[in-house]
Amino acid sequence: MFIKKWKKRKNGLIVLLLLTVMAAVMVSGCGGVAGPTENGVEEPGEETAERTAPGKPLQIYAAYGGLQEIMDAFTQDTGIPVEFISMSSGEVLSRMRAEKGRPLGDVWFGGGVDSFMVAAEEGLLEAYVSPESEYIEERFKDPDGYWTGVSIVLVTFVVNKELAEERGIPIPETWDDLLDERLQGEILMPNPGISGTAFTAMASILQRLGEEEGWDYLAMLDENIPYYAERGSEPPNKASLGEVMIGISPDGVNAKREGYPVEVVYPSDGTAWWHSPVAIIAGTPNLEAAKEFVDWTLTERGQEILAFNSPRPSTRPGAPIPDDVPSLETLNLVDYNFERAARERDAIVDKWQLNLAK
Amino acid sequence: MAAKLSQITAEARDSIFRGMGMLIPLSLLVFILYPFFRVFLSSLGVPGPFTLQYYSQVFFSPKVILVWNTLLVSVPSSLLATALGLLLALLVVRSGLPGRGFFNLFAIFNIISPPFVSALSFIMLFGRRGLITRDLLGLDVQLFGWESIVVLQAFGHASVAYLVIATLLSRMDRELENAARDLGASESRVFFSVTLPLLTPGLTAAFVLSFTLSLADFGTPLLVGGGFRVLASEAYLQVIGQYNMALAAALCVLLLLPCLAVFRLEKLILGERSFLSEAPVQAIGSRKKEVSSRGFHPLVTALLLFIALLFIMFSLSIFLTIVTGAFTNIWGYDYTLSLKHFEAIWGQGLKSVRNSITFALWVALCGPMVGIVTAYYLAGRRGSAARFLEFTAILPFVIPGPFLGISYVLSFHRPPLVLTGTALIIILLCIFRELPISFKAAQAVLRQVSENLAMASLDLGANHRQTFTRIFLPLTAPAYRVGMIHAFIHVMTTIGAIIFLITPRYKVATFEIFDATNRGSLGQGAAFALLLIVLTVAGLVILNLAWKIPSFRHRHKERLQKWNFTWKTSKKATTAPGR
Amino acid sequence: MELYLENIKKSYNGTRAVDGVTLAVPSGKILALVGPSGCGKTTLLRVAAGLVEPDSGKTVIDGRDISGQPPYRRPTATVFQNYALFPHLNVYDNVAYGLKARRLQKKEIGEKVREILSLMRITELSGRKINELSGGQQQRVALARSLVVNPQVLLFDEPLSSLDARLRVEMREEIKRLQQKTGITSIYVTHDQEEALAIAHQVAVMREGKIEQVGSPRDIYCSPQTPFVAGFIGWGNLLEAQLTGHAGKRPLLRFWGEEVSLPASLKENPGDGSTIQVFFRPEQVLPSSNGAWKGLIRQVTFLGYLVRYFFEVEAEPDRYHVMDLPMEQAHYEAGDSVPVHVPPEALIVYHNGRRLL
Repeated sequence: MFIKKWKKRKNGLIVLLLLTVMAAVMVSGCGGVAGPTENGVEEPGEETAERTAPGKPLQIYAAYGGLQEIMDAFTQDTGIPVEFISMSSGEVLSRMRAEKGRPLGDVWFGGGVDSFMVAAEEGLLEAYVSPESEYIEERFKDPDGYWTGVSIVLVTFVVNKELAEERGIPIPETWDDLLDERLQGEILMPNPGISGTAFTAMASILQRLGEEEGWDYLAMLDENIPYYAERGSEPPNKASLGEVMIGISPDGVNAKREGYPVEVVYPSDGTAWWHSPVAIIAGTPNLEAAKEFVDWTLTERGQEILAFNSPRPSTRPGAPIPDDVPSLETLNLVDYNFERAARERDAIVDKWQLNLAK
Repeated sequence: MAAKLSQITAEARDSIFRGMGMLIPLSLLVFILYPFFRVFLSSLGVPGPFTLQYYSQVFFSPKVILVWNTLLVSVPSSLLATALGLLLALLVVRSGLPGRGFFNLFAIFNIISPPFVSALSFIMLFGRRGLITRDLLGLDVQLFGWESIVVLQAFGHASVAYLVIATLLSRMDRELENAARDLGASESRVFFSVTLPLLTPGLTAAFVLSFTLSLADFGTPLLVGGGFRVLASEAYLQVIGQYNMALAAALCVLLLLPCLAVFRLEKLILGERSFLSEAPVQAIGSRKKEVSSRGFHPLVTALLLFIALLFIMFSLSIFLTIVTGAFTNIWGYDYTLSLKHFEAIWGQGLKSVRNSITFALWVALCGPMVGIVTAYYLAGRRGSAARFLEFTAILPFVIPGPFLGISYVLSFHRPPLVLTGTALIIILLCIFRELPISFKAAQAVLRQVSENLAMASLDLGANHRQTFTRIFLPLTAPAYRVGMIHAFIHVMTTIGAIIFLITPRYKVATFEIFDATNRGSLGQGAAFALLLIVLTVAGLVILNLAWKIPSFRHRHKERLQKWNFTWKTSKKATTAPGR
Repeated sequence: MELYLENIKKSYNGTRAVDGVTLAVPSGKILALVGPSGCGKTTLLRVAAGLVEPDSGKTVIDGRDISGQPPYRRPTATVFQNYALFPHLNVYDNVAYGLKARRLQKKEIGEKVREILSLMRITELSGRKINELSGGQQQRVALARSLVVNPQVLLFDEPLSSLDARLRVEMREEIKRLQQKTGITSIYVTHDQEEALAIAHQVAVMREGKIEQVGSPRDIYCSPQTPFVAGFIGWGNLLEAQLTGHAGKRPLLRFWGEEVSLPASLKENPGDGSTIQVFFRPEQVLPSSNGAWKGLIRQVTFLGYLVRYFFEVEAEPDRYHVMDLPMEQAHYEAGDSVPVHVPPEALIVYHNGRRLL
């Protein structure tokens, strides 16, 4: 009898104990959740201190091509091990926001300069002026050192030569050529609300032709566009596979290198462009290695490796570039105002959404 | 003295074991319910002032079309998938044609083929320059739009539906159909008045499954939608393109509503109908061999065969295009043999593959245990708290993958529980995502085994821990197996759920496929896909072999046989007259 | 409406389930098909129902050959083991199922269903779901469902096997009552020999796909033609014995250590000294002061109207035999020593599975 009673009581005690523990966890949990998220940032000191891991590979968020080769070369040159993940600029930005105060990445490598501007403004980036950045043209780097351009992204026409031949349509050389009515349904362009490429292309046209004429042009171009792609990669892929004749994209050279029968056209009446930067993520526990990475990408050797593995013009004059990449001097780059584009971004996307989106 | 001591330690261990039971509700609350509510809070603007703006952004803007688009795709595709699954199950289970195992292979292959792959094959075969549409038929067509999404999803999810329905069909009490025939019902009447109603649970389960899969699928719409947008793809784009977590959360909540609705629907339809458990156990043995020799009408058989053929061709064409893409120079353009894609992925790519396998194994081995323990914990518990916990345990079944992923990011990035950036969070997410399968399976076992068994064990002097390990665990071994295999396949092929959680260190193979197709390196994507398929199959084979290792299972089997034997002999002893 | 099965054969994967059975059920009678599990009785029943297609053989009802016809064209109705009631339909719809399949008018269906429900005394269950019914109620619904279609032949497949003992006896009488009332020719499959004897006009004992013996319950009980039938039906004592010789025409047997002279000669002579089997019922063992054998009572089982004694014989200890005595003569206890007698007229003699006397 007595033993039975004691047993019962003991079980009861254990349950009670566990309940208390659970309640404590829950309460502290709820408190903890409400606390830091409300003001956004916590004390970074505590946080980062506990997860600093010397010898942990450099964590890189990248929106860049040829990553494997580039990273291998970097590790070979500096002995710093690297782990990278490839994501679009938007995703990197989302992650950095989510991870603010406790970043999981150390370096952001490549992407649209507009995203870097936003990130710098939101305090997500660490300012760093690399000793190498003096060789980079002024217009390609941030005056405060939050980011430094490593290459120039060019918005091109990726034209499927076979299809063009079959149709007997000459390969278009200018934006105006795209208005040819034989090209109806043959031009694929991403949704500017999603793709930096498409937005820069549109904003460039608006800046080049002026508001009114620019929108008229876009409306006419729209006649030939079957739909706006949801991802930047879709137009060049579809053009490569011959699903459409022309894809508007910066990645034509890659498709060509893959071996697809495409021609990359840099429109002679104004090639849209932006620079793709590198930056250090604020709060990184791996600051020294991150700085080394930034330095390396800006050296002549780094620039060469970048240009050969991801075919784009360099921001450092004099760095060697492969044959299938044009030098900046031969191109008619649009005189593009990034601040103005950033200011007008929402208005442009909204207007496009209202009038042209399908 | 010693005996007393050992008894005390045994008792203490039992108490600890029972105490550990509290971990079950705790973990259900922390890893399912809490993330769930974080998404709701986030969609309402928390942290920050409460706002409905994200919902109004969806409903009072052109975005409202997303809701309709989603239903336009998901409803027909899951209806089609269910119908297809039913027809395939009928053919395979009932027609008596040989080659059932062969056919199952295709169905399973279809399930383990990684995401995006079917869409890519579709483009390769039916695109404007497709092997079939252009080179074979000489057509110049652009097959992009919601119809393509429906067709691809229907075929893709048909195998899931098929497996669910076939299982139920083969377990169904055929005596009921015999009774109907005997009462004068023609074959078609038997089918519509008995077979089909009895299959309702399977049909609804299949529908719910393919419906949630379709809702969560953002890859297919992106790849073959031709600009057609649905909630899942939009939520994904909101995160990657617009950096808008709150709006993504709102979209996820909208995505969840229809899921919960069908979930509720399933409960409503099934209600208290528990036909499954009613099938009398003792009659099964004799019935199995007496499969009715009367097959289908030849026309029906022909139709079913035609559909099965379509299905096999679908699976086969996916597989062949993957192989072709992986081993030829340029996807869809230059078909010279080449190993360059494998060379390209050999470095860091292999690390991702290794990650995939590691995660899959962890989840496959630990996950089912959680499900089984949960079922054990809830067994025999009544009351609203238990019902609520049970609901929580099956909830992940209908939560779309991206929703879970986003909810984990929102929940576990900051104290008290900091998990982001670790492998643990990915494993935990997958374990709880797979929970419903092993939980349900264990529950089913439990229902068949009478409560008396546990009582008998306790009565014979075993404590709760011993009862669990000696009686319950061996009995739920089949549930463990089911959970293990599902978990392995799902983790190997998942993308939507974990894409927001992976870090440079913990990239997985499905992500590499996604990334490769994004970059336009379709050949590399195919190489990854092929590698993933081969490894998944190998993993399944190994897990299955491990299962057959005598030690554990054999003992269990023997034990059962012994019981059976004693039962039989005792029965004989009573009926056989004096001798 | 005579049912006639001719030379039915059916194998499953090379195993003979039914091995050339010919069986006739006279019009309006119940034939019980009894045998151990796996003897092929259920398969034979299903052949009659058309649910199993035999490898060869004919099924004839009322002179009409219906072999090869699908089950829904046959004038048979089956009452299944575990009833096979449709769980998704209520009682009314279950019973109406066969009538709907025959496309009867709605009104007519209603009348017939109500009529049969009242005949089965389950009118009040009409709207119930199947899983709300007790075993006995389910049994009645299953019977009603089969009877309502007015079959020429009723086939019972172990219909009472999942009921408890008392309910079984009750339902068995109920089935008898209904069969007598409707006069439907029936086959009744069971593994319970007591049930078979109780319910049937004719009993067929099956073993390994073949029929061992067909006859009236009394025939089967009193005059089992094979040792298998003897052992399977009722209680009894089956012993080995030696044929020691002949006293004139009368054969001499030796068992339990004593010699017995049989009242008549054997059908054939297996030869002196050969081993044969003798069989007798427990009620044929009598305590008698001049009994030849010394029995030692080991166990007593009180059955009400009679008392069953398990005893061993001095010459052969450790083997129990059975003796039934009416209550008024039963005043022995375990441990008592009783001289017993078995009248030679009661002995049945088998050799190599065949009956010699």
